Amino acid sequence: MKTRNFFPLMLTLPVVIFLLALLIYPLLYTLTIAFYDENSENFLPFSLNVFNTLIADDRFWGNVLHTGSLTFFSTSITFILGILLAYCLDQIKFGKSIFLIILISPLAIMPVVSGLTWRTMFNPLYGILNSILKYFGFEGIEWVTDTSSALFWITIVDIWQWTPFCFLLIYAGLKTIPVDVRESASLDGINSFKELIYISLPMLFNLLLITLIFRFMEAFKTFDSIMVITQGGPGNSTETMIIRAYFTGFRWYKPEITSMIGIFILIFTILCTRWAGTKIGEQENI
Amino acid sequence: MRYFKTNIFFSYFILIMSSIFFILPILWMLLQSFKNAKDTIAIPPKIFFSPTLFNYINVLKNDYFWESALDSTIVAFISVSAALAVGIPFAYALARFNFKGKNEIAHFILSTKMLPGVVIIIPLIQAFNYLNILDTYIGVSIAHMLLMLAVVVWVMRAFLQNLPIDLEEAALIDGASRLRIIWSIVLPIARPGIVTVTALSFLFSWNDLFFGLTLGSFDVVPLPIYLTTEYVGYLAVNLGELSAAGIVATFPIILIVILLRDNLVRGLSMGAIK
Repeated sequence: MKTRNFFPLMLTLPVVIFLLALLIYPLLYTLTIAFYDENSENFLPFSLNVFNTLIADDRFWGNVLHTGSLTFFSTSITFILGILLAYCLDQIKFGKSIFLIILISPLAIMPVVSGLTWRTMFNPLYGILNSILKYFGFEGIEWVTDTSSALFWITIVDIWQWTPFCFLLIYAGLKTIPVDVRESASLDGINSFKELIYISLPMLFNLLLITLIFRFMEAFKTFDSIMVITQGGPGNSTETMIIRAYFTGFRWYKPEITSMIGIFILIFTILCTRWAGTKIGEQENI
Repeated sequence: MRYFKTNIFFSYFILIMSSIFFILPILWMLLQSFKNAKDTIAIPPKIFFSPTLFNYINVLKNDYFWESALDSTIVAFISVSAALAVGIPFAYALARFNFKGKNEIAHFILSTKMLPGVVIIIPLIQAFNYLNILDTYIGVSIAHMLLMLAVVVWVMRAFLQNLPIDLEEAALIDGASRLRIIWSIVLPIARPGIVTVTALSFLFSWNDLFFGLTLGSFDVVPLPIYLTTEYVGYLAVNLGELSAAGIVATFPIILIVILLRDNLVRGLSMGAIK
């Protein structure tokens, strides 16, 4: 009887060790780096200096703004576009598999590779996008070399990268809805778009929620494409919190700033994880 | 009837427009990879040109590229095996047993998927430096486990919960040990789930830029890092070779996505689609 109690713990132990070593310990250490101050007059050598510097720093609030707008626009547009494309592909009869392959093809490309390709396409001088514009008689655009539009184009790249993810999951979900449900809706004279809004999507609520949560977290974590295309520039116009944290730590050797930004990210992540974890766990079959 | 037709027309219109958007960069990359150096930077860009395999030959003859591909493969192999070895037993415990704190640990694991690596990277570097595993296969692989463990645990948990428990109970009555039951009964039945999480984990490891960039640098240079540093200099970008190298490097992913598409959907949706 005793082995029965110990067995699940034995299975859990490796994971616990892993989490302690790679999550708990680094997080505690990050906290101490962020608040460490050897000149502090407090009892312990900690102070809020870095915190105060950071929240007084306009550039940091710029980073927060960039992160927020990238996350918001990219998440909402990919999600809505994903639903729209899944609906359209579900409607048509001819050419389904061709469209399916094209629409998920960005998923099959390494993000770094697609980032580099976008970067060459954005080149104002010899990039193909400007050449197309010029061919049709328009002026060339500065794309990611202009501070006012760079973040917009990074968002577009992110949308390009992640819409296939949303689309694929939602399309697969639509196919799991029993045919008779949808047929009876159409017999009742409901048009297909209303059927999508009032019948199909509510039935897929759990799936949509999971897709949205994951998409949101990935948008928040966007690193590869910014790193490859603009590295946070021009100026600070595409510098998100994560890019800033990376560069302060690894180019300017200020681990305390990296850690403090990390703590902001951490608090945000904890809030999201608690919420997301409960939501995902609430599904009956998981 | 009239409505029906506008509906179809609208669908095709949206699909064609978005297909152009999604396929254009990939087509462009393919075209570039078959051009010689002069054609890649021609103004205006050439759509018609005499194709050459020169770039591919150069990439395939490049020893550094192969070393880097080997690094990627070894790191992916170590991290995926380790993540499976750590994650599947726990997923089994979650699916079959009730014990205190199991949901807390499960949520904690989910947070590894959501937490950006930059939050923990500095302590990791210091610890790895102390253990002398900075810039080694082991070091990068351990960090890569963070990328995949959440998916392994949550997807396998959903998968194992849906497996019938009868076989295991029968084996238990016959006197098989618990470990033996996992090894010879649960794992073989759970093979589709294992294929799914293995493929996903491989993708995460193969695509990762951040941990390779921070924890590896000279001895371990996975492909994403090699591609960003080797072909993009301050002065010259060798576009043709870059595209060719990118296509070769991304080839395993293309294969996985084509062959295991349905498995990936199941995995990415965390079991919400079966």
